[in-house]
Amino acid sequence: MRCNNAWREGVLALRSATQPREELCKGSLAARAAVLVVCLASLILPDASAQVDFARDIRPILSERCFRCHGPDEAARAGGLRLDEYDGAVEERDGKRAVTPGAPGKSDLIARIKTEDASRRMPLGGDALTSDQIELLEEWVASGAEYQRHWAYAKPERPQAPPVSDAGWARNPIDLFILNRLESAGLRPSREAEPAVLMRRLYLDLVGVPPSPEQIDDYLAGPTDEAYRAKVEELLGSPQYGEHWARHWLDLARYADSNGYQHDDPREIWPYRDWVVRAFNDDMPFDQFTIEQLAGDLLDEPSLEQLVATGFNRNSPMNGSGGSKIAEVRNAMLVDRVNTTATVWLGSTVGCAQCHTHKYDPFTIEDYYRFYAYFDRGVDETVLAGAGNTRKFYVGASIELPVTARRRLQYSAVKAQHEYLGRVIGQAEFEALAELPEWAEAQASNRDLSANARSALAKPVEERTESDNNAIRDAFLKARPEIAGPRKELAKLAKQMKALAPTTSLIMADKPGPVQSYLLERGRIGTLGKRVEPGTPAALHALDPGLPRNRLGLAKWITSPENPLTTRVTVNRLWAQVFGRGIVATAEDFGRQGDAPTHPGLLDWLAAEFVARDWSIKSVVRLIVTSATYRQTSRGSDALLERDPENALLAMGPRFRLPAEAIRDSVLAASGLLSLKMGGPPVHPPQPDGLWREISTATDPEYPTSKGEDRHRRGIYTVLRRGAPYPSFMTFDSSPRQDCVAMRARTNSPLQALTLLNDPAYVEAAGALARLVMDQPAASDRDRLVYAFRRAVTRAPDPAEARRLASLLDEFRGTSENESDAWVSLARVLLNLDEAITKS
Amino acid sequence: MAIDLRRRAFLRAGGTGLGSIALHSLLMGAESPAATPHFAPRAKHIIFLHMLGGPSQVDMLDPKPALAKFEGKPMPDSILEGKEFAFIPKGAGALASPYKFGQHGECGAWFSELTPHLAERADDLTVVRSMQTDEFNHGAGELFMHTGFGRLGRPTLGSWISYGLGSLSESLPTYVVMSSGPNASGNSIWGSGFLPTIHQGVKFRSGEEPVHYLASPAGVDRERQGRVVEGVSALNRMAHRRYEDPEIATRIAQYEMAFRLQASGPELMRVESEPPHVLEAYGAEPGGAGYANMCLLARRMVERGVRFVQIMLRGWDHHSGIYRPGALPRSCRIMDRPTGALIDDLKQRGLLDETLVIWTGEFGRTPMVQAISPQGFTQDPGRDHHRDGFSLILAGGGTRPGLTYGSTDDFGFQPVENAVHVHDLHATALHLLGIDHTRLTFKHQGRNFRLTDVHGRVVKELLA
Repeated sequence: MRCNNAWREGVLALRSATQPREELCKGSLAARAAVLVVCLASLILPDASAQVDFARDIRPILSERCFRCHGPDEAARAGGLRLDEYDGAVEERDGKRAVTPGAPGKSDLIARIKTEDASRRMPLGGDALTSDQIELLEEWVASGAEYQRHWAYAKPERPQAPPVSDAGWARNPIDLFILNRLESAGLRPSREAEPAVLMRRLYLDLVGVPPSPEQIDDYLAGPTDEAYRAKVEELLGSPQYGEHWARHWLDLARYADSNGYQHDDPREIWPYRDWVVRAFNDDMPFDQFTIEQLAGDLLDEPSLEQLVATGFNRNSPMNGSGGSKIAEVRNAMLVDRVNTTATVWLGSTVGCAQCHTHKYDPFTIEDYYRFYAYFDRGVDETVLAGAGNTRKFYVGASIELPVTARRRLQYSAVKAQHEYLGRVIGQAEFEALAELPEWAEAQASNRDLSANARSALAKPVEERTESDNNAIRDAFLKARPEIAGPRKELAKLAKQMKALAPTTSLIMADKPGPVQSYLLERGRIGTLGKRVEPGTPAALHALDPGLPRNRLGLAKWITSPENPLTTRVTVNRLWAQVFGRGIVATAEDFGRQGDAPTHPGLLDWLAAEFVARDWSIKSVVRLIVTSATYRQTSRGSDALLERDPENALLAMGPRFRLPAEAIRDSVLAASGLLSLKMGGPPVHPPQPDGLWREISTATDPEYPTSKGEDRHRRGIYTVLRRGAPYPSFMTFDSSPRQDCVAMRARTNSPLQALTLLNDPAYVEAAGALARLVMDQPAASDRDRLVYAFRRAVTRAPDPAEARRLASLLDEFRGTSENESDAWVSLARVLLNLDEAITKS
Repeated sequence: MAIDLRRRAFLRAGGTGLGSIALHSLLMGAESPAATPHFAPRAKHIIFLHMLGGPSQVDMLDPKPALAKFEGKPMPDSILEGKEFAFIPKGAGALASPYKFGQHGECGAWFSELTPHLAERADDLTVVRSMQTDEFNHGAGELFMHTGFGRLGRPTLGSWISYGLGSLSESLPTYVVMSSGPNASGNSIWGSGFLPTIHQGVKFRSGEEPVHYLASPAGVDRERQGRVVEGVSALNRMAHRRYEDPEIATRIAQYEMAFRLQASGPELMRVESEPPHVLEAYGAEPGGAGYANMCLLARRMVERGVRFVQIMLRGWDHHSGIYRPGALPRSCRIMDRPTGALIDDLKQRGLLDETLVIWTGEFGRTPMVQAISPQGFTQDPGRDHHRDGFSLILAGGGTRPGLTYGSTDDFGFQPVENAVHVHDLHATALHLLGIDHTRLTFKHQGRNFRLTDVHGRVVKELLA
C-alpha cells in the first residue's frame, strides 16, 4: 500500500508537471510498472490476486459505466463530478464526497450505485452495476481508493525476465515471460509441433504462402535447430517476406487504387505500395519508415523514394460527388489523417475528440485540432471537374516516375494524335447532329440499332428520359461512318496512351506560407473556434520545442525515445500477426477502454528490444518465430480450451484461418499457378461480370480483366477499388480500406464455402493441382494422394486420412467419366479443407 | 447464418463444449448478444424500401397549397436562416405541386394522384410527414439513413439487427439486399461497418444465381457436388479430432449450409412458381429484374425466414422533371403498384403483423424550384435535395395503421410538430423488433457504439 500511495503521489506530481518532481518519481513509476500484475478475466485465473487492482478491476468499471458523464470531458460532465482522477473523486462537494478513501460508508459513489431508488441510482437511466462490481468498488474504496496512471502512458522500461521453474524449455526471453504466466496459472506449455506443421506455419508467417513439398524435404530429413534457424534466415531474406508483411501495413495505411464514394475514380498511387514492400524487405528501421511516410517531403533534399513514401497520407478516401462541399471534403480527409496517424502510431482513438473532449482518454478537443493543424498545412487536393460542374477530382501533389526518353517521346506523339483526332471528331459530331431529329423519326423500325435505342425510339418524344435521348444520339453517331471510324481509331490511341503514360504517384506537400488553423467547435467546419498551432496531445510525452512545427516535427515526436506508445503498439501488432491476438487484444486501442496486456512485462521487453535493435522489424519477428512459445503444437484439448478459450496465455501454438489474400495465394501456390512477379500496376484477376458497373456514376465501369500471369499474381497486387473490392477477398474479411484497420475480423460463413467450392478461380486451381499430381512420373495412387495432400496442407496424411483419400478417389473414379475428372474432384476436396486455409 | 469467432470463444469459455451444445443452436444466433430480445418483439422482419435520390414529398405525400401563392417567389428569410442546399441558391422561388391531392380510406390520409395504389391502401399505412436527417448529399444521406452516420465505417440497421437477433433460417442469409442499380455510397449501405462481416447484407441479383458462386462449377452436378462436400466434411472431421479446434466443427456446418443454400437460393428466385394472379398483382414476370420482382421476392424471403430485406429503387433524384411524364410520374408508376401489392400480399398471408415495411428516400426535396442546371435555365423544373423536412411511409410490424404523424410548415420546409429524426426511426424500428436501441452495443476503437449513437427516441405515438 505504501508503494501504491507513493505511486499515486507520483502521478499527482506528474499532473502538476514540475520537471524535477517528474524526474524524482520516475523510479517509483518504473518499479510500479514492473510489478504491475495485469491479468485476464477471472475465467482464466479466478484466484489471480486477492487484492483489488485499480487497472484490472476498477478502471474498467469506472470507464465503462461512469466516465461518459463523470470523465475528462468537461462539457459532458454532470454535477461537476469527475471520477477519472483522484482529486476529483475525493473532492468535497455540498458536504459530501463521491469517494472517501478508506470509508465506503461515507462515499456517495457507493451509496448512489447501491440505492434502490431508481431515480437516484447511478448510472442514471442505465442498468444497475452488478453485485460483483459493487463489491469490487467497495473493496477498492475501503483499501484507500488508489488511482494509477494508465499503464500505456508511462514509458516502458526494459523489465527483468521473470523467474520460471522449467528454464530448460525456454529458447529466448520471450519464453520466460510466457512460461512464468503459464506456471502461475498452473498450466504447462505444449510439446513442439511436428516438423511439417511447423514449416507450414513458418512459411505462412514469414512469406505468406505455404511451402511446396520440395522446399521442405531437406528440412524434414534433418529437422535440427540449426536447420530451423537456417530456414528462418532464408525466409526473412526472401522477397516474398516484404509482400506478406506489407499487406498488413497497407490495411493500416488504408491503401487503395480508387477514391471511394460516388464515382469512385481510380487513383494512381501503387508506387507507394511497392515502396512499402521494399521497405519491409530492406528491413528499413521503423523510425525511418515512420518519418519517411509521414514527412518524407519535408526532409532535406528528399529522394524520389522518400516522396513516394508520403503517399501514406494521401491514401485518404475522397468524396468527389457533385453535391459535396470542397471544405467538407477536405475536412473529412484531414480527420481521416489525424485518426489514422493516431491509431497506427499511438494506438489511440483520438477520433472522439474531434467533436468534444475524449470521454475516456486524456485527449481534449484542443489536442485534436493541434494535431489536425499538422495536416491542415497541406496543399489543396480537390479540383472541380470543369466550369459549372460540381464533381471533383483528386489532385494535389504527385510525382512522376522516371521513364526512358524514347518512351516519353512515343507518349507525346500519341498524345498529340489523340488530341487532334478528338477535335476532328468533335467538329464532325457537331455538324452531324443537326440531322439527328430527322434521322430519329425514320428509325422507328430499324432493327440494327441497340436495344436501348430501339426502346427509346419506341416512346413518344415527351416521355423519353435523358438516358433515352443519349441512347438515340449514340445510335445516330454510330451509324455515321465518318464518325464511327475515327472514334474506333481514337479509342485505340487512348489505349496506347494509357500504356505509354508515365507512372505518377500521389505524394504529400505543404503550402509554402504560414497557415492559420482553428479549433472546430463540435467538429463542424462552419463554427471556427479559437486559433490553434500544430502540437501534440498534452497528456503524452512533451514536444521538444526545437522540433519544426510541421509533419516532420510530428514524425520525430512520434519516434522519440520518450514516446510510451509507438514501440509497444508496433511490437504488439507484429505479435498479433503471428499469434492471431495481440498481447493487448485491442491492437487499435491502448487507451483506458482498451484491453489490458496479458503479458505486460513481455510487451515492454519486446518494445525495449525493438529500440535496442535499431527498430528492426525483422529482429522482432526473428525473436518471435525462434521462441519455444511459437514452436508449440496447436493441437489442443477440451480441458485447455475451456480454461483459456482464446489461447491468450499461449499454452499451445497459434491456429487460425488465414487472411483473405493468403488464402488465395496459398491455393494458387498449392496448385502451382502462383506467379511471383513483383510490383507494378495493380492487376485484375477474373471476377464476376458487372461489379464495377454497380458503382454509382463511375467513369471507369469496365473491369479490365488481366491476361496471362497477371491473373495469378499475389493478392497484394489485386486492384482495390473501394466501391467494389475483389469479392472473394471481402467474403474472407478483407478490408475495403475505407479507413485504418488494425485488426481484421475473422469470420466463418457459408459464403466462404461457396467461394472455395465454386469460384472459377478456385476451380481452375483444382484443375491445375490435378494435372500436377497426374504428371508425377511413375507414381502409385498412394504416392499421388500423399503428394496432393502435402501440396494442400503441407503435412503428410496419417494412415486413417490416407485410407479415406484412397476411398474418395475410388468413389470419384466410379462416378466420373474419366480419370482426370476424378482427380479434379479430389483436388477440390483438398483445397477446401479447413487445414488448407488455416495456419495450424 | 454464421459465427463470429470471438463469440465462439466466449461460448467455449462458458463451459459449453461443442459436444454438449446442438450445432443448430450455435448457428442459429446463439452467438448474438440479444438472441433473446430485450422485450417481446412486435415484428420479426423488416422490408426496407429505399427510393434512391430522394422522392418529392410535396408532390406525393405532403400537400402544400400555400406554395401556389408563393410560386416563383423566394421563401421567407426566417425559414432559410442557417440552411444549406446542395445545388440551388437560397433565393430560389417556391414551386407548387402540379399534382392533385385527395384524402383516402377511412383514415382520410392524403396522397397525390401519382400513387393511386398506395392511396387505395391508406388504412394499412402510416405516413410520417416530419422526417429529418443530417445530410443533403446522396452518398452521405444514404449512409445516414442506414447507419445513422454520414461517413463510411458504421454498420447498417440490417447489420445491427443481424448482430442483435441472429438468423431465422437454416438455408438463407439473415440480411438480403436487392437493387435496381448503383447507389451513391455503394456497398457501404449494406455493409457491417465495424461489426463482423457475417452481419453484412448479402446482395441478391436477379436470376437463378442470386449470390456469387452459388452455382456449382460447370459440369458438376448436384450429386458430384454433394460427394465433394461430404469428402471435405469427412476429412475435416478427422482434422477436428486431431486439433480439437471448435472452428473446424463450425466450418463443417458452414459447408453443409452452403450446400443447402445452393438448392434453396435458386428455389427462392423462381417466381414462376407463384400463381398468375400474384404475378399479375405485382406486375412481376418470370426472369424479370425490376422492382416488381424485387417486391415479390421480398415477400418470398420473409416467408422463408430472411429477417431484413433491403430494396433500393433508383430514379428519384428529380433536379428536373417534376412535370415531365418520363421523370417523377414514371418513377411513381414503377414504384406504386408493386409496393401496394406487397402490402396486400403480406396482409393476406398474415405476415404484415410481423413485418415492418419502411418506404423512404435518403432525404426529401425542396419546396423551392431548381430551375438552373449547369447548362443554363431549363424549362423542366425540378427540386433540390432537402434534409430539413420530408415524408416516409411505414406499414405493419406493430405500427399504427391509418395514422398521419407530424406536420411541416406552410411551405413543407420543416416540421412544426412531432419532428422525427432518422435516429428516432432507427430507435423505433429496433423497438418493434424487441431491441432497446440504447442497449444494443458493440465495442470498437475503445468505446461502445450503437446504431443511434447518443441520440434516438422511440416514437411511441407511431406504435399500434
